[in-house]
Amino acid sequence: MNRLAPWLLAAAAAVAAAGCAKNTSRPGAKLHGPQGVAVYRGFGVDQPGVLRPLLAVANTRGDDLRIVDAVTDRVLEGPTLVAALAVPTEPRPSLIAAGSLHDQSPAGTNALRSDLLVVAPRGLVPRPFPAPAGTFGATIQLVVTWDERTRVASTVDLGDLAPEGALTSLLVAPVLQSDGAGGWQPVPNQARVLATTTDGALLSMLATRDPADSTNVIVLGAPRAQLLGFAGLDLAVSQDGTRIYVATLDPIPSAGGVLGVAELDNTVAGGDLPVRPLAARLGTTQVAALDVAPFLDNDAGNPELDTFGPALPRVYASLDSGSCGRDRSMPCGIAVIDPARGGLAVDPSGELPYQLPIQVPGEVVDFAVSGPPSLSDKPGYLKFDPGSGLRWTKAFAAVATTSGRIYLVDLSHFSVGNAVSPLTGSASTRASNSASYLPATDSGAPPTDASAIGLWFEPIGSPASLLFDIYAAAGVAVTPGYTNSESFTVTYQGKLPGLASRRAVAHVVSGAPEWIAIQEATGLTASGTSPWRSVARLYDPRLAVQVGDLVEVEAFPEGTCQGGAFELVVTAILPPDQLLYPGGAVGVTKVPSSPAGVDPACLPQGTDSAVTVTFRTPSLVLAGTASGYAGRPRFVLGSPETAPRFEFKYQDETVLHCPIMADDPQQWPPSTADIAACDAACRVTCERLVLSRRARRSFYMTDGCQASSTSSGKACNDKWVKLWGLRFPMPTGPVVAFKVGITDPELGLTLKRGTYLYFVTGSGFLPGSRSPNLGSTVTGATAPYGVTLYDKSASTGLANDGLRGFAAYADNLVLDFAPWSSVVPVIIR
Amino acid sequence: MRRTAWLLLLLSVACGENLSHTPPPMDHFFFPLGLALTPVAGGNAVAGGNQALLVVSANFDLRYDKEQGATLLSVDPRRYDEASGTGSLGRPGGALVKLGSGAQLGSYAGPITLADATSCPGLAAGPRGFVASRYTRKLYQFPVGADGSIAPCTGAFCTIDLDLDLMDPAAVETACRADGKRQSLFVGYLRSPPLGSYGSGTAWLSEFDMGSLASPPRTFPLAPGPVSAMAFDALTDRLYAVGRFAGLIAPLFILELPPCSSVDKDKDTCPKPNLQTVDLYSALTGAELVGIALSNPQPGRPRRAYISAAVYDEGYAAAIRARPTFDVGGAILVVDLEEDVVGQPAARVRSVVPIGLGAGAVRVLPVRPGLADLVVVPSSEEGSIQLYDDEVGAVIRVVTTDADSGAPEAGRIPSAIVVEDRGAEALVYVASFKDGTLSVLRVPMADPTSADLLRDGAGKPLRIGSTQP
Repeated sequence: MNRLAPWLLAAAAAVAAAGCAKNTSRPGAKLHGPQGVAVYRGFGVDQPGVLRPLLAVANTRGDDLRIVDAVTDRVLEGPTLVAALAVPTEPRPSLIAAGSLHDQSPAGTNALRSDLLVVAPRGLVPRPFPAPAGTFGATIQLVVTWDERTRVASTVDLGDLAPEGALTSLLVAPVLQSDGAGGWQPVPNQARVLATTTDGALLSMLATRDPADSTNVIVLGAPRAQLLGFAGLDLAVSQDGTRIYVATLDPIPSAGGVLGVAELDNTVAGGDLPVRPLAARLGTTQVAALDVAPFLDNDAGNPELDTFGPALPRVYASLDSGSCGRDRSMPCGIAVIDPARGGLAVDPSGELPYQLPIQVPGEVVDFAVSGPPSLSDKPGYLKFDPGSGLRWTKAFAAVATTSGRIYLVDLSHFSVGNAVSPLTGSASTRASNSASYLPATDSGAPPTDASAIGLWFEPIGSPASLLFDIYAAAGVAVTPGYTNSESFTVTYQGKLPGLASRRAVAHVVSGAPEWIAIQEATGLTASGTSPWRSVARLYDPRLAVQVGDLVEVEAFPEGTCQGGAFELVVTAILPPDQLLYPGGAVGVTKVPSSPAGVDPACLPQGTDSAVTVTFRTPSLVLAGTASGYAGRPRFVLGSPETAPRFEFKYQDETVLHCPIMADDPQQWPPSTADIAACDAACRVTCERLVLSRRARRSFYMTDGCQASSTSSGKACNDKWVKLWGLRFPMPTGPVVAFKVGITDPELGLTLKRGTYLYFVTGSGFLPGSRSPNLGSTVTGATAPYGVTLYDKSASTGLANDGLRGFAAYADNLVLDFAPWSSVVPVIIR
Repeated sequence: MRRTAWLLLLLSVACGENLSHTPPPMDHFFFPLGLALTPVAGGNAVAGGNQALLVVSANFDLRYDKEQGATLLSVDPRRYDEASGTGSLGRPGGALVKLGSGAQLGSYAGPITLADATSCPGLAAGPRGFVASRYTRKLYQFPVGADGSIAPCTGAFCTIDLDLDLMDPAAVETACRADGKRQSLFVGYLRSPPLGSYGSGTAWLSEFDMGSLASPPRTFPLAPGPVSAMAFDALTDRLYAVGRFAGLIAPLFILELPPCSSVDKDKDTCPKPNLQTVDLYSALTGAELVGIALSNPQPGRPRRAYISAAVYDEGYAAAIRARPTFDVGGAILVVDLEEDVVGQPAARVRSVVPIGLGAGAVRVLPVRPGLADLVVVPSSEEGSIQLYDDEVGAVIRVVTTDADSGAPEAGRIPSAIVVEDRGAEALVYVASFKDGTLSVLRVPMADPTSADLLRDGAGKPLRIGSTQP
């Protein structure tokens, strides 16, 4: 027998040892297009018998579920230990919901009762046997959470109940019974699974668990359908479980149909749930509900802490982005609904006819809400820091939008958390970068005989002084919560926004043009075509054309108007004529002081001519890159201390009625009666309404600015309170306000057309958000889908863990984030 | 050893030489990238449908002659009928019932557009198909017979040189006025180098006058974002085009075309199109626009564009300053097309609908009076086809993989699609780029949720053509 050489033996042993060494790396989650996320209490094979919070991720492109430990962010391993656990589901799982069955462990036992977990695809899938082959329908699957072998327990085929309906949302809600004291309490061992479909149905199934069954199996009952009369898009349940809320873009059946959120009474034991509409003025796409304690006032001694009122039921719903906007009766964002009122909540500042919708960049994809965690360094409060400093609050929302970010919303303070301070610092609300410009002469050099535009500045205790150029910005008053980040120009005889160098039609009867309409002939006559395009609705008050405005005619048909450009003045605003000028027109006449050689009668007579025009104001006009037309300031030439300032400011729009400015742009032109009812005074009111809507606040400023012994407190108070006269908290004020002056007229200078002052405003607002990143590089922050929140402190017993959120991203990751900035988000892949 | 090396080198050179001149097959598809339907005179009332299916095979792997290795074939797309011997769909062995001999064109050929009396009133010559070749950088014209047949072009202007400064001509679209005042054909380029004051990645279009192909085209720039697809709106005489990645933008170009041709006799007097560019990036970060289709015009309904988008990692793109080579998702952007109050054409994103990886061309199904449109989009990377119902705002049907084999039911890498209006139903022809076959998705217009591929008795999807090796 030959012996192996000792060195060979040693080498073999070393190789064996290396091969058998413990592999310390864990498999990744291997997510494929995750969409839905839900936290539930269940069991995992790695810790049998331990009931703990787990995160279920609907792995849409993987056709399965992935399970992650919600506390450690570690993915549960599959049986092979080299890959993550994958729970096969119906194709393309997307919707997922979890909830408690409100079980109480029987006295004297150690029975642990897991939550209910259901998952479903959004679209239709091939129906299982015994449905006919080749047919498609919706399904809902129940997932085993009551033992450690996570798998699908049962599949409910909804094809017969909802033959053509694809699921749009999924929810687990409690089943309620009277508590004997006038209230309601969950029925133990039961829960209700609800789903909405594209064909207007609300599907429901009863989930039950036999309390005597030691296996703790959950069973789904037969589904039933309730026809809602509208297609639900999202579901939510109130904090007390008595109400179900349904977001929909369709009118909710009632007198005249109501746009908003449908409220269903979940206390009804059997049969259809009664429906009550909650008016939000527009249709909605996503919904959540929570009892929220609203901000009342600052705590003078503690800037991190405020005083709050009692918690009140609130419903949050993202508005139809196609029907809202700056120039419409309802701004975009997440509407705040008061169920008690049956409609939008009251504005906490008392200014708007409703609480301002929460403004978030992008379109809302999903959002989740939560009250304070069970454990907190400040019991009953939630630690919140979007980046501008710690602030304790009472309610929080995480909003996923198409911008790729998860926005952090402080519901008790009514707004997205601000990552910067609007009151102090370089990013605060401000006006800056101003400059005075003179129009160039033909030689290109600035004129030497022209006046410049400046702004009056009135420091406290000092006489007013007229400032120009880089100093002029000091004369601009701004208001946190109203002022946007944009640049403004104050121009003498400036161009009206959107009406510069436009192709138009000039109608000439005899002499100069009679009317001018901004439109372009297509020459198309076939059925369904339009003879005009690029039609400016000159009759619409949003364009702010007024009698007395100037119309420069710059270009003409070839061979005409050899004398060059000429000018007209507006004498009337003509209502639309579907054949001649579908957007309306302006009646015009010659400017009395036309330059020599220029003849407005140069256009062909008795016909319409294609020209190019620019509309100008006769004096000053204010225009912003975001606000657009913002009004017509007047010069303050003397006594600036007593002259009123120009204000681009919100006015109560409920008292401003404009019959010729329909909210829906499709409703054009206005009716004959409305046109007849709107005289010159009416048009003035219309313009006030336009400006008022553009000057609405954009967020609620609940920071304090009380005078204090600190230098920052004194500086804040001196600037905002003493100088600009704002009252805190929630100041109301203008977007911008100022007094315009010009270079001393006694110097013999003249004001020339096109002279302007420019300045930039900063909003002092940077919406706080979370996104996946590697170090300082944001990566994977594309297309978030589902988001959920959960109380981590309840699982760990550590107040510092507080509230956490999970968001699924298209880039095959789930983000674990916290509402305060000191916690680095964790990427789960 | 040295002798072996020389032998190997000789073999490789020889093989390369042989392959570069190999004529393409004219009896099957290979890497189909372009589809169109053309009417067949007389039709077929019995079997239903009166269309011939035009298929462009791209020669994507350059297996055949580079200069003329792509093909355009016309086939009878009807279901195979054993008794009459007609139809290519489900024909044994994947044989094709060809209409005409077919024609050859330059490699990397792609989308095809047809110009006939319906789409282009007053067009002098008969119906014609136009295809661009990315390899030869030429535009090819093919007369289409009354019976839908395709034969090699023999007349004038069968091939037209495109701008050699620009690269990868692909998208082609006709833009004809009903009054015949303009009979334009537009060609878009997928890539562009820096040219003069225009940087690389600028969108360029070449406009041809189909009534006077002898006249050189007018090529003009738009803005950053090379054109990947176009759609013409005859009602407003506007041409819509979507642009590819050129930075963190997603441009939708809106061209207001003049009532004349900017080519030939009117070129000095005809004004240039008025261009408006709308950046849709803010609606979906990471979006690269791929395809566009316009809604069916209906009174009282806003006109919409359905735009498919591939979604990439924005942060990664910003870090590497280039388009990542992989996608993270796909989407359909539902966009309201309207004129804003100042009369400028505007585009407002109504919703963003997630779809699978590899979003491709978009097609709108025939009109459903009183209802919003049905839209079909393939996702090539996932091998799926999505049917989106704009009335409910959701994807209601997805054709994915075979439950048993895991293979995509519509074939691997579904790409080009074309829709046939059959009244009560629509047939969507889907080309499988990888397999070289076509599948047919039948959509009952009154019950679109039951849409499914046409299948044989065993439940297997029927194919036009045979799977390429």
